[in-house]
Amino acid sequence: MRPPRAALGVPARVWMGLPLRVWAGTIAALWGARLVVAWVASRPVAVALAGSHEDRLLFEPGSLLLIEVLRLRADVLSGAAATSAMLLVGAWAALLAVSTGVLARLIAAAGGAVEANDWWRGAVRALPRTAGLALLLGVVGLIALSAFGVVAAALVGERAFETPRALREGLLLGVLAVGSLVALMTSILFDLARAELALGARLGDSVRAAARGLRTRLVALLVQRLVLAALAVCVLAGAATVVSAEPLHTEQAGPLWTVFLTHRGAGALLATLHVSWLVLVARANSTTPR
Amino acid sequence: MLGSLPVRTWGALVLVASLLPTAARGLEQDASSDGQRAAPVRLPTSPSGWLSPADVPRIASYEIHATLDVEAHRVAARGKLRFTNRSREPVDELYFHLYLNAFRDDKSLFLRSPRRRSRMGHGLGEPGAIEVERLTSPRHPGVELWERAERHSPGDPDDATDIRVPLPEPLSPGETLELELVFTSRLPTIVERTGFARSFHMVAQWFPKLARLEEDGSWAHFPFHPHAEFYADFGDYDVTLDVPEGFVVGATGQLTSSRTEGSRRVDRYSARGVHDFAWSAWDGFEREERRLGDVDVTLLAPPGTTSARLATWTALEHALPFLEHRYGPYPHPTLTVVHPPSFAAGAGGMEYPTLITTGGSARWPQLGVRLIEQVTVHELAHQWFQGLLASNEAAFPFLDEGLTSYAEWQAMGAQFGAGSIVDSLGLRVSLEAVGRAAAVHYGRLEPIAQPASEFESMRSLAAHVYSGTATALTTLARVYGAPKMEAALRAYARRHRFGHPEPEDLLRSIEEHMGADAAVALRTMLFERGSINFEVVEVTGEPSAPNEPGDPNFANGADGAKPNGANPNGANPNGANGVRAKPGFTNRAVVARRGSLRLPVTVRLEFEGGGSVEQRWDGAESLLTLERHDEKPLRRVVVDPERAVLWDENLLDNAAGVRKPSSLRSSERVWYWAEVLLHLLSP
Repeated sequence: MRPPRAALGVPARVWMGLPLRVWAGTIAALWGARLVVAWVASRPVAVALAGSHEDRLLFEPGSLLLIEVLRLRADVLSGAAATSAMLLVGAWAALLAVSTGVLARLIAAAGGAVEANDWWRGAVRALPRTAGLALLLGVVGLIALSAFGVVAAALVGERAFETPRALREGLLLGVLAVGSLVALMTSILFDLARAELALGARLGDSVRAAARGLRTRLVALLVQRLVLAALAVCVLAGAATVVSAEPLHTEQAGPLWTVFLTHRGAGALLATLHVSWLVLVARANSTTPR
Repeated sequence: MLGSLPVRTWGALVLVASLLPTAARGLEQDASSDGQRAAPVRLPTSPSGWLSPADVPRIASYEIHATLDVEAHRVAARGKLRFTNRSREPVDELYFHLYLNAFRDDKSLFLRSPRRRSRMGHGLGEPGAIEVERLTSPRHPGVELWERAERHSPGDPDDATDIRVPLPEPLSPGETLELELVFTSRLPTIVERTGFARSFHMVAQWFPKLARLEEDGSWAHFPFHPHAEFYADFGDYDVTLDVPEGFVVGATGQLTSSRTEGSRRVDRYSARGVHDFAWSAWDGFEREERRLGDVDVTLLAPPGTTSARLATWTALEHALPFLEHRYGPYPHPTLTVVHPPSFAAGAGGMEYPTLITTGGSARWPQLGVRLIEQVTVHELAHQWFQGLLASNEAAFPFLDEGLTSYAEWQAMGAQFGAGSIVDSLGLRVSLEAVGRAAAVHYGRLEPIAQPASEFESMRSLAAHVYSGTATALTTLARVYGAPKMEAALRAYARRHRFGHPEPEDLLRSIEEHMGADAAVALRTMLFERGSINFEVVEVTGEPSAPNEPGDPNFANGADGAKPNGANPNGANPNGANGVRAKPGFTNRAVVARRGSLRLPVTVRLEFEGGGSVEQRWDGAESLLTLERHDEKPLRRVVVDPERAVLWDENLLDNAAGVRKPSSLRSSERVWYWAEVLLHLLSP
């Protein structure tokens, strides 16, 4: 067995200031958790789609059988979708715990105030307050989303036909852009705040500290978040391009394997991008003025 | 001898005399072979062998001079109507359609119907009406015919869309009546594809249109029902349109002259052998022109609609030759396509002779949704079924909308393949899939072939008439052969071009080219709410009993089934001692057919380890039981594996197996989407 690099006096391989083993561990944890909870949440819909028909026919060009399944199983599918949605809420909560642990680990690895061997205690202690903060911001976000929805609906509603198309579309894009920006800043605030919570801060203090951090690094954080979001879009688009070319309606196993591996690869990349963002949050936290 | 001539000579003279009326009718002869009504067969004068407008007897021809007031949204018009009685009976009355009176007030038949009963999605804005100020004829000097007209539709004092005008004296068969008319059309806010929105004007159903006079001398007149469309006789239209300079006009027919008079422009249009005239005027149109084959096509569209125009041209370039090949030459020199602005979207999706209106957001093509192509091809296909065959859209809506929808599915499928309505991100959805779902989802609530006014709602009409008819025809094409269906519809289109066919004409053509069974099936689907559902009821494969030497009573895959791929019973079923050994498994499959419709179908038996056999079933009985002995056990049975019978009410029970099939593909896909959703939403 090879001795560890540190014992040999060889510096650990690092990226963005963190050892690669920390990267690998956190990515594996987040990705693995997502795979499991996504599988559980998707089961009701997957079962509702199955039947005595071969499911490869659902992917037949023309979508004759897909539409038939949607038509005949509409009630069952809507019930299954509701069940899956509830499971997704539970999945979301589970992933909140996992990502809180990941963030605490990253803060510790970045030299933050969390002890390197005690990061998980900080994560566990922070979890209830983190969940509370998530709930609070979620309610605020829903209200904001509804308001934006009302505005958007008015822009595309009946009387919208009296507005020139270009102006109408411009206004709609503007509403969507503002809404997206608000949502983005809220999520950044949340991540900065829960980093504080991982350090043991109280709820109010964490939000104040997060606001300070956001103010001092607003542009940098926004740019970083948007770049990672753009990369995520590229990953999704690339996966969609590969998958759409595969003849899943045939009996061959090859296309199924290609799709499976493409989707898993895309999931792993998305998890990597998410961990990258948490690394940036951890580094921002470690340099936040106190 | 009779008189001074021998009897033989008298006989010959009588024979010749009896043939004279036939000869004297010239181009027309009754082709009936069974005593039932058949459309008169007109002999074409064009080299192609298809009737052209020059061959069509003129019955109702109009010469109109119309002035558009774009501020008041009115059309002041005067003109002449030349009507020739080509029926077998004298007529002592005329019937006029005054369609715009449907929007005069909320008491009309159209507007007092519940809103869900019409194509309108919203309430009426500004009202509209046709006011006839004068109707006279040189034949009846000093008589103001309109003063003698009924004030309302027959039997309906609140509706004025179907007006009877008694004549001072009858018009005999073959005689022509010249009428002079003066009228004003007040356009409503766009409703039912006509009216105005800001400075956009779609001027349709705007003139007093003579009802169609049937050959038996009866008038096909009817009030304007929210579900019904139109029906009229063929004639020539010479229409002069006076509009403000700066307004771009698109109209039925060919522009023959254009001049400017001060601040006005006067365009003259001529259309031969048509039964309607519509036009549009807007100061925001941009014009594009192309020549497609022998047709000069003009596209009028709003600014900033590049992708929509491209989609329109792409659709036209393919569909025009496709439809000509199927249903005969497009006989007019021009075609105008009007894409209304978004604030006038209600004017879109309609057909008039040589003019169609389309519409749709320019974003659709960018998203891979072919709504613009679909509406363009649909309205273009109407040029044959509504424009040339001109069946009664009120009495038999399926003959126009249903056949047009079928032609649309065919043309779109030929151009775009399996993604004929959606082709985006790997998802390909066909018009057949969507249309069939609409057709079967309503079950058999109403007969497809009933009059438009009898449908419970516009949505029901759409599902039955548009999707139902197209699904029925597609089913028959797939079951009995697409070339036979093409031949049947081509013959129907050729025989009844300019001929106002009725349902029996279509059924006759189906029978001639596809057989009696196909015609019976179509009649069942269109008239009798016929239904069908194939279901695999039982699939078993058990180890056979031990061998019984010399047993002659077992089937060794020799029950008429056709091997498909590897025969499960191997090359030599006979044992070395010459005794036929019973194969290892007794397989049993039971397939049921439910419903009143009978269609032949394929049944495929699939075996463990590969291999399958197919058997054709005529569907006459309600159950098919297959028992056979094979080397391999049965794995799965599929009825109608080609999915020919789109009319089948439930496609999900067309297959069953010994074990539930894999759902790996769909499970994996849903799993991935859940993972992506969690990435987007989770902290």
